[in-house]
Amino acid sequence: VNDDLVITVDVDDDSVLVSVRGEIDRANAHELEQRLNDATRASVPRIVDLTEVTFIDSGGLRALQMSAQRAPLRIVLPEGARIARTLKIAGIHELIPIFATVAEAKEL
Amino acid sequence: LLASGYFAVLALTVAAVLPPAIISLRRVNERTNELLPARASAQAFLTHAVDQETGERGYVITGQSSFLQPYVSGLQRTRDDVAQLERLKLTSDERIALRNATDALDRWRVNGADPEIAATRAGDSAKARMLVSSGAAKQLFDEFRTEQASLSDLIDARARQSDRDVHAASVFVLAMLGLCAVVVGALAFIFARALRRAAREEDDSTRSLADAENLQRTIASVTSAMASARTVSEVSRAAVTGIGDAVAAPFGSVRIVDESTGAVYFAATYGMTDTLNKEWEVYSDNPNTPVSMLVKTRKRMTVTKADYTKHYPKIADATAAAGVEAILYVPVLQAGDVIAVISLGLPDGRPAAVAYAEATLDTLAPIVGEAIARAQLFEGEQQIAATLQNAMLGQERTDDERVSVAARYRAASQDLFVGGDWYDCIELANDRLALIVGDAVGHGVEATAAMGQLRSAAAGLAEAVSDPAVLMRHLETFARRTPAATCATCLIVILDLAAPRVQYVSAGHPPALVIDPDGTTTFLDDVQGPPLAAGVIDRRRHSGERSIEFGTTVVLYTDGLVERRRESIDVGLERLRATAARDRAQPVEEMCDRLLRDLLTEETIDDVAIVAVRLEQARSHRFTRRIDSDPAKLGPLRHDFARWLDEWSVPSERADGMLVAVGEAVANSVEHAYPLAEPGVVVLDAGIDDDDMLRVTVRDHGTWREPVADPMRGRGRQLMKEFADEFEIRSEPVGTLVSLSFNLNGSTRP
Repeated sequence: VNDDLVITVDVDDDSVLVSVRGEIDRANAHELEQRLNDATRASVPRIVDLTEVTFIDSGGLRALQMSAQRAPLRIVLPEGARIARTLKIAGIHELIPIFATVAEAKEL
Repeated sequence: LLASGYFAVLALTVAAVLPPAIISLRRVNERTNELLPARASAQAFLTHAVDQETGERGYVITGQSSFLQPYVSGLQRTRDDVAQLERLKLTSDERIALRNATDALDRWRVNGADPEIAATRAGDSAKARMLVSSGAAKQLFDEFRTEQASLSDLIDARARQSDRDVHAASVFVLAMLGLCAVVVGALAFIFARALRRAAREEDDSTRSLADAENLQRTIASVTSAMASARTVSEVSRAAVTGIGDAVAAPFGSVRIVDESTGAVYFAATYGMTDTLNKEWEVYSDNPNTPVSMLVKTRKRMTVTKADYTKHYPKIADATAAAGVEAILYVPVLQAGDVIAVISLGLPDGRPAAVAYAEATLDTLAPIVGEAIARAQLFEGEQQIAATLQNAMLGQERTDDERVSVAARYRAASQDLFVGGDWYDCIELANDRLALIVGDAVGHGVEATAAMGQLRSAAAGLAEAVSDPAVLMRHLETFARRTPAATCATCLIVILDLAAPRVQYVSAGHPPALVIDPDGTTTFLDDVQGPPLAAGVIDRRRHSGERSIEFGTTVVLYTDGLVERRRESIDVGLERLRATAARDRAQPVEEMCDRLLRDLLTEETIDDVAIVAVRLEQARSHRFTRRIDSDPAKLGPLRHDFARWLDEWSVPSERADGMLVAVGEAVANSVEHAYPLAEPGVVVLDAGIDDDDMLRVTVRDHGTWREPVADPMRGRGRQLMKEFADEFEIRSEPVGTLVSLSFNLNGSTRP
């Protein structure tokens, strides 16, 4: 619906990786939540890479939180990413584990 | 009827009893006067005959004539006895028996006794003895005895029969008298009961007369109380307190029911403690609450203490504390639908008291129904008028960034009267902008309609004319044909951006105020004309003109802004001048808010409209956008805003935070301000001050009746607070205002 948001899902033996690019707001947050929920696999970690996300509002944060409540979720977001401050202010790291790289997220 | 029946029964009884009684008396009389003498005479007849016979035999045996004396006297005595008997009333059998006995005695005397006496007297003792021993006399006398005995037997038999008759008659009379006594007793009992009932009915009718009078009084007082109430809750309050008084109910309520949605809410309550109110909530999901049952049955019900103690124990405590013995629920029907439920806590649970309360409610519920329906209609009309007005307002949009325009409308403090104030902003050709403020006379739907017509006429005509005075004359012609628009006031200001200058004309409307950047203020009051279509035809309407500079603000308003009771309008105008001059550096949006805040008082009863327009610097210090309340508009707005920030070289990491904070403010308005069915408009206004502050306001004109109290909770609020240097949310009479300030610290200047 919104060209500003691109979501890709990579499934391999040891993880499901959802990569998100663009802007997440109330208009498309439900799309992200749906894609995250669809990506849930038993026994394999589910990782969402937000490195390329340039904007997220509280609607998007809520989508992450709701999906994480359904099934374990790991966020990949490096220190200097554009939405890092927003997630920090919202206290997302207290709800969902955040890793600097995809490799680290897979490792644990 | 009862009495005549009573006497009829009595007469019948007497008629039945009388003949046997008479018979009985006659028999008794007969026995005394005839049978007893007859028996005595018959007995005497025998005795005297026996004496005669004894004397005759003694004479015959002894031959002494002294023995003959009884015979001789007996002859007379027996004749007397027979005569006596014959005088008495005897039956024919008895008479025959008497004659037989007399004949037998005569035969004895003639054929028995006399021959023996003659023989004895003649001294022929042998013949006498022979006669005696022949036994002829004895046999004849025995025959007499037999005849006499049969007479006695007959008389005795008659006496016995008479005794039996008397006895039977007595028994019958006694029986009839007994029956009569029973009937009389029964009738007396029935009669007494009937009398008692009649007395009670009279009692009841006296009481019901008093009740009826009370009911009439209640109807009168409730009806008149409801007549002066307009809103549903006012009507409900008048109804429930009035009826509650009449039945001395310690508490009562009116719930408004919407059958189509199943929504129920309290429109009015009294005497209900918080506990009582809250505890009902506990049961509100229960399909068996009195109210939900009532909606199904459409019949009133009385819940007794025992009922609610069993089913709603928490209510029981609270009602007991209130001194209530039963709760009465009555549906208020309108066109067959339950539109409301009246409930009253009754202090007296006895049937008579409950029945009286029920009767009162039965009578009043339809009246209350009418009143509530009327109030709902009234509120509906007011809502339509308000919606109409809302739809007609808010045209302060301009895409021209060389000007900023803000407008405010505040409804009259008695919010149910929609006023006739209106404003409009029309972009014209040749860099011109027409600003119009008007005030149609009166209130309500008619005034709103008139205002809409004037506004449409103005919008249609504005493009075609160049001089505002000509536009005003056209409007006047229009108003003359539109009765509701007669005497409306109107102010037209045309802002010529190229010159720059303002042209203006007023028809009885308070003058526009011009505030220059240096604080100089001027009322444009040199061309004041009469209101539209106010009697005299004034074809001489002329427009005024004044040049303006960048940063100059022009404020148009309606009289509600400057008028106060017991105060000259000059004082109000002066207050407006001072306030506007003070706030001249504020963005026009903020300036309008401050005017409303500082100039209106609790006493302001009229509605108020303000339009402020400012000629901005050529370079855009400002960013203003209006978007529909649609989440899909968030992205484009954000991108637009990001570009504007970029023009001002706001560092991107700073800009990211601004986009988040401003985005939250806009998103909240989009999500919370408007019902889904009625999308509205959200206005973003951003400006950079001389002191290098970026000030952003986000405004919605959300639900006109109930401003959303505080939609900015949780994460959105947290993000705005963190990213902005100053952050404030205000609930406005219409909508919500979010102000965000960001200190740019000189980082923006190229």
